[in-house]
Amino acid sequence: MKKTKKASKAKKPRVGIQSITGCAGCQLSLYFIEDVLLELFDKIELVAAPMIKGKNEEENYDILFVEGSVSSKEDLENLLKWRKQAKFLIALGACASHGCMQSMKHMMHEEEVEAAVYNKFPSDKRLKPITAVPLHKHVQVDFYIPGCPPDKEEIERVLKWLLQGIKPRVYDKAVCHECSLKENYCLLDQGIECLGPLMNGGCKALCPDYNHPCTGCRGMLDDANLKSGKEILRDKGFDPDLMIKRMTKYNTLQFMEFESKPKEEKK
Amino acid sequence: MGKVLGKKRLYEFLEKVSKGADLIAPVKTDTLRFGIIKDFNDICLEGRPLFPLKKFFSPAKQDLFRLNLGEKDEPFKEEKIMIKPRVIFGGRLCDFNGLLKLDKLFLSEEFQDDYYKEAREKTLLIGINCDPPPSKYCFCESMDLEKYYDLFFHDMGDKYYIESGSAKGQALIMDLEDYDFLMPNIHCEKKLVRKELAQHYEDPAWEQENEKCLSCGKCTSHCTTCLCFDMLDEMQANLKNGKRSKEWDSCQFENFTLVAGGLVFRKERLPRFKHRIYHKLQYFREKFGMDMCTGCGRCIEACPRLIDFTEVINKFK
Ligand code: SF4
Ligand code: SF4
Ligand code: SF4
Ligand code: SF4
Ligand code: SF4
Repeated sequence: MKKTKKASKAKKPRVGIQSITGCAGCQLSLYFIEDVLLELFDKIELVAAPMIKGKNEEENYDILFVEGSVSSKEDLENLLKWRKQAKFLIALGACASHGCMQSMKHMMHEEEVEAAVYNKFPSDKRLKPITAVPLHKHVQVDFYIPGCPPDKEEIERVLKWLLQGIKPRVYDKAVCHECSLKENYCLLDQGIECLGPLMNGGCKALCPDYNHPCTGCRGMLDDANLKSGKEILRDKGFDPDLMIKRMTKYNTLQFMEFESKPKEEKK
Repeated sequence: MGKVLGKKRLYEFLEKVSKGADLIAPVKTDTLRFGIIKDFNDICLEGRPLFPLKKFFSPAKQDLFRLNLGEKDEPFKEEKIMIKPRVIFGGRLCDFNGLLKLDKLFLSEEFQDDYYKEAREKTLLIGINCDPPPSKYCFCESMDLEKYYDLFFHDMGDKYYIESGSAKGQALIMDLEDYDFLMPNIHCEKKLVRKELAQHYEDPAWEQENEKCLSCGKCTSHCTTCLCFDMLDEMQANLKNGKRSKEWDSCQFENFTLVAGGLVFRKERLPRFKHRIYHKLQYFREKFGMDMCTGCGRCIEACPRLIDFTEVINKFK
């Protein structure tokens, strides 16, 4: 990752993309950077990418993208193994960053959820899931590219920064910001239950841009004011149960963490 | 004394003054926004757009210069500024006073923003008086606005009374018929009781409103006078050519004050919440002798919680 010409000629950074439990859509987003993919891949050595490569290496990554949440024992074993081999580990997508849908189980009875899915299979054919968590619950994560799916332009930007030796920057402003910059007619003012003021942007307000309320696929803001968010929705007469479902769709763990905080930050 | 223009002749007048220029006015589609007019019938003077005019003087996202790291002679190349002359019609007194305040920042003696400067020079301002105010959140009457415009219209039913505020404006209405009338002042329901903010930094009223604040930044993106921005450098895949661009930012965000070394010096929500209002009503005044707020009420109306800083201040003990 040295910037000097010599170094880059001598050795290209070893980049890997690995996945644990998820839909593999995150990885696909990366391959969607079609226009520049080959040019970028020319600057790296793609040592692991099981979706598109037959032979994949398991060690010594300079940059490693991991998609998916830790949802089984094998996931955990793999993640721990890769972490030891990676200089810079990036959580790619909502599952890896926040837990996504599979982490909804944290607010339900585990047996109930499992029964709903696995009861039709004989007991020896059932998967043995563990309750899904994002990567940082088990290993150190160096950078997050959240989103369901993550924005391909952001993946490209982060990769380029790393190749230049620049510390990547997170987008950490509310969805409302990009939405307002586009002069969208606010969905809340149209009686639609948008969660934009609680959620991390960087998606260019894609959903509200198409009149679809934000449900927070990029995670909640670090300082999300959940109490006030609930009050907006209450004041506008939205169904509280539906709201909790929306807030927890991608972010059950964050939701629970916020809920267990004694009070909003003081001072 | 001003002039008079029959309403039937409005389009003809606008056509004349906007020859060779873009005509910008409020247009109603799903909601009201300032936009470039293609058909005079699209102009809508009912209400005021929640989105302010500042985008025509400093766009929300803008490329500033190109980077060509391989080239020794010209590693940086500024983006050419290409602004067509334009006429803004249907701005309110608060909208144009917003520009007056931004001029202090972007056209000061020590610093001039080239884009802003050219945009200002190429824009003619034709306003319309607020009688009554178009929004219940308006409180400009408390804000000492100036008569700042090239031309200013007052709706008199079947005709407009017009006053000029500049020589440029005066020249445009020379041919119109004289008319004797006193332009009425704007009267707002909402009032801001002016107080010395410095003495109230610890007032409990701040805390109450702050609890509602989501730090979503809508108050600043919609503000007539907020133009704080963030910078982003991005290279193409060849890592040689790239660009630097800017994008509006907001002091309401947690990491707005992130500086080299990783320190964030206004991390908590409460000081961020107060900062916006202190900037508007105290810090700017200390520097430029006027408020940075025009009383347009956009920050209140755009806020998901309708947080209203005039109420905070009016409540001070
Ligand atoms: S539509 Fe949603 S994201 Fe957009 S401004 Fe309104 S609340 Fe925020
Ligand atoms: S718009 Fe309202 S909730 Fe959002 S940052 Fe401003 S004051 Fe806070
Ligand atoms: S602070 Fe609020 S009232 Fe004042 S100019 Fe900005 S948006 Fe308008
Ligand atoms: S209130 Fe905040 S965003 Fe607006 S100009 Fe002041 S510092 Fe910038
Ligand atoms: S704040 Fe005053 S000038 Fe602005 S729209 Fe309201 S009444 Fe008109």
